[in-house]
Amino acid sequence: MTAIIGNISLIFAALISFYQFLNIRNINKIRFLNPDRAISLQFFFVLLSFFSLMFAYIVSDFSILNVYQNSHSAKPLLYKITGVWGNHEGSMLLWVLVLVFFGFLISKFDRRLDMPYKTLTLSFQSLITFIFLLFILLTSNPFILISPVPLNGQDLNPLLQDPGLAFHPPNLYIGYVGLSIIFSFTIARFYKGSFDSAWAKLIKPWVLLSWSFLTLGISLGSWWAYYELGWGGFWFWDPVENASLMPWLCATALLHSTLVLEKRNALKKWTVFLAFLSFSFSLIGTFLVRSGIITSVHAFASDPTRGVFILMICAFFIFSSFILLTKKASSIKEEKLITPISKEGSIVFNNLLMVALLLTIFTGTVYPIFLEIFTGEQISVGPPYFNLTTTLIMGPAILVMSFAPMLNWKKDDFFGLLSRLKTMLFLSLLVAFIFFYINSQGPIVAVVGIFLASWLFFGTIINFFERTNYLKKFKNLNKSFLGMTIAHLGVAIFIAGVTGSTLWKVEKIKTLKVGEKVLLNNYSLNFDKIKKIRGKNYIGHEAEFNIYKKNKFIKTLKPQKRFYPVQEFPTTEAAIYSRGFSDIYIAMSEPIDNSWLFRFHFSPLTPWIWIGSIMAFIGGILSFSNRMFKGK
Amino acid sequence: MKKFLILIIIIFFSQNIFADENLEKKAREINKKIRCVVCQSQSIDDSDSILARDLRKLIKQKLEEGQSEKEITNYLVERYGEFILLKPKFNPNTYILWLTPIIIILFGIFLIKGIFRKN
Amino acid sequence: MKYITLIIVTAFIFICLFFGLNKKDKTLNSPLLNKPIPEINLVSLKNEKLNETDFKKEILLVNFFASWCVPCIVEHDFLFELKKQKPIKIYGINYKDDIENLEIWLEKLGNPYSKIGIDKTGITGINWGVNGIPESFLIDKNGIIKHKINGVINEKQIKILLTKIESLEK
Repeated sequence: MTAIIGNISLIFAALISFYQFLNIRNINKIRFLNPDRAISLQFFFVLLSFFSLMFAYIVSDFSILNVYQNSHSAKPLLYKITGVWGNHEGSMLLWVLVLVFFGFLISKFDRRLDMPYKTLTLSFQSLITFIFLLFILLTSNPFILISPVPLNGQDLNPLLQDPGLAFHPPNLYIGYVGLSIIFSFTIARFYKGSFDSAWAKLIKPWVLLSWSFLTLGISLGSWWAYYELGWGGFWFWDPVENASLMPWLCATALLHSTLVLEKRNALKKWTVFLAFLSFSFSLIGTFLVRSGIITSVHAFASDPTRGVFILMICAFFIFSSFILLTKKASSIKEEKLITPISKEGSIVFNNLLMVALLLTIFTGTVYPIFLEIFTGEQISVGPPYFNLTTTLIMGPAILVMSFAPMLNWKKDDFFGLLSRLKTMLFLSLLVAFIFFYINSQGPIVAVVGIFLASWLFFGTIINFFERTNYLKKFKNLNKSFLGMTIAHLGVAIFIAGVTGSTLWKVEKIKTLKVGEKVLLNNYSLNFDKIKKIRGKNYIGHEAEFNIYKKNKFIKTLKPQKRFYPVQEFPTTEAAIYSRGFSDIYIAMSEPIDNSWLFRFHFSPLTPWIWIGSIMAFIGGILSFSNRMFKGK
Repeated sequence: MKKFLILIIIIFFSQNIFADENLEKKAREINKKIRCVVCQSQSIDDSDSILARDLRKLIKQKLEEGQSEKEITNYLVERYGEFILLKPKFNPNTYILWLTPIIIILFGIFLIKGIFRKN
Repeated sequence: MKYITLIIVTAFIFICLFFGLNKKDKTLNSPLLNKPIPEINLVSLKNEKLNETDFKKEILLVNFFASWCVPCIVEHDFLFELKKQKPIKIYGINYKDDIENLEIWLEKLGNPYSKIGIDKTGITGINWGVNGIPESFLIDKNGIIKHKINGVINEKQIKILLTKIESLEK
């Protein structure tokens, strides 16, 4: 019954979306299916389908193959629910849900759009929806039944049974898939209206919304990896991680380019190109993750026919948009030239580096595939390549990012800036020196990292104080400006966090018996107890560590090693003591005789990685809230 | 005389301790560059798999025998292929990989020239 | 002009991705193919030696296995099947195992090996580029590795092996 509802809802949604695309001129052949109603119905049906699947998971309806393959009656309720999107078919359904949700949001809440333009936009959004619904119905239907009905399921990968990972996909998809509406807005604009400052104002809130959630989604995933995967790392340049980073870089470039279009009516073709490119990278990311072309921790179970289907979907959207741009490029009148020393000049500089990084990451990710095709050689492109290229490319970007907001539009005088720059330079060098003094055994690169973070931090703060006339104008503060400030500060804090975490980490791997202890930095970690534990669907061991600093008790940490019998899968539940400026991290491994192997990390500034990311998210949402309700 | 002897002994042992620590550091550095081929996305420094542990032991042993990083990585590449190196070598196979960032930036600068007005 | 470049480059990327999809062989290539066998200096189960002198006389199969390896149980029957179809000499290399468990395992499942080398530490495995067990190597009369099988030798693999052995015998 549930499966029938789920299936039929999807079919209805597909039919309506197809109709909405065909009805692109809103001839109103079916009177009650005007664009607003049509998109609302699409949303309703996909939501109904999604809730049906969720219901099946909650009641453990194992007659549905998808539930059987990914759930188990003993699983905690939260993970039964979030397990809906912990597999290919279910997450694909979530993908489409976000797709129609954005259409619905436009329809219901964006009062600035005129009817013809809105109709066009929603028609294109419906086309995207239709194609993906077709993909689901033909290759990835979550409602396939099995018979006879098994007594219980195969359980969900224990790594996914976790709060961080539960919420990572929805947030990520709001970002990732939100870029689709920008895509639709852009295509529609070729047929109704021009790429002017007014258009930039229209799409800006949606770019902000997508960008913010993409930021949040990526940091949730990274935070999850940090505490769940057990080796204290937060980013490995895994192809699937890159698949989310690439649209993010593009969206960041797009965000700033839109700003230039809005304020100066320039960079038109470039903004259009970035709008297309962003969603293209969302699609390519989807392809990389789901096609099986790359094996990875994340990659869903692969099926080459699915892979070909997704590749064709990517090709369809990417080529049609590029060809459309090529054909109509000449009709887009670019008027203004840009002065290098100006706000828009610095944004051009930023865009250049963002896109360069984006393409570099793309190259690094797909290079092993390409090389193997042409020469048969197998190589790895891992963190050393990506870390090197990223720091070299982002370094200059951060340098400019710091004082770019201080620059005027149109044209500015660099020498006028110099006095402020001198202050920033002095403060940043001071901070870098202090950190170096505290932590002198680290590599020199770390000091550069701290310097850049401080440089960005002070530049942003100084600009904030000047623009608000030293907080006198705080009451009339423009929310966008505040949002930008918080987001940029977040980036600075993030950079400091990454620097500290990567370069100043103290790590020890030791085998300990109960009663023994290890010294980490100035802390004594005493291994006092070990006990057996049992959860709803797992068994395992828990170690108790009491942490002392100079004989003063600080905290108890209890890392666990779990074993999930159904999937025969062990997990490491690391124990982390986060103290604002650093983390103490303990992960447990296998027992050896009557000793246990542990990994201990003292990670300076690591919490700043997440604090910085959250700040960026908050900044984005603040700016979004400013834009959304402004009149036409 | 006694004090002198004690001093010598202390220096001798501390050399060993420092040497040990340096060795440990060097080993970790190398480990971070070697891929765990039985894991999905980890270096042998991060992984706790059996093969990763054995390789870490082996690398430490080889360092104690005085082998250089190059000799150790060559040893591994001979047996597991270049796939085991997380940092791709710079050879004809990877020229495009390493040069692409530079080419992209140069191309970008070329594109930008068209839109900048002379100050 | 630049748009045309864009489209051509994108097309190129898509074609490559398409071909990348169809490459279904996901196993790690061995750099040891067509090279002489690596170091091997082991003591066998019967306290004899298993080293280079045991090679270079005839076509052989070297099979890395262990009693704790579940797929090896499945493979075991296939090894007998292979020998039935072609009486080839198989050396077993017992990887990181316990001798008592090994003997029990062999008693239960049978012994298709002419000699079994004991690789307690796994160093021989590393020397042969083994990344998981079971793994097997086909070696010709001159001690050159001619084929490597990652994973279980099953029916499909047996067919491939037989063809390769035949071409080596010529």
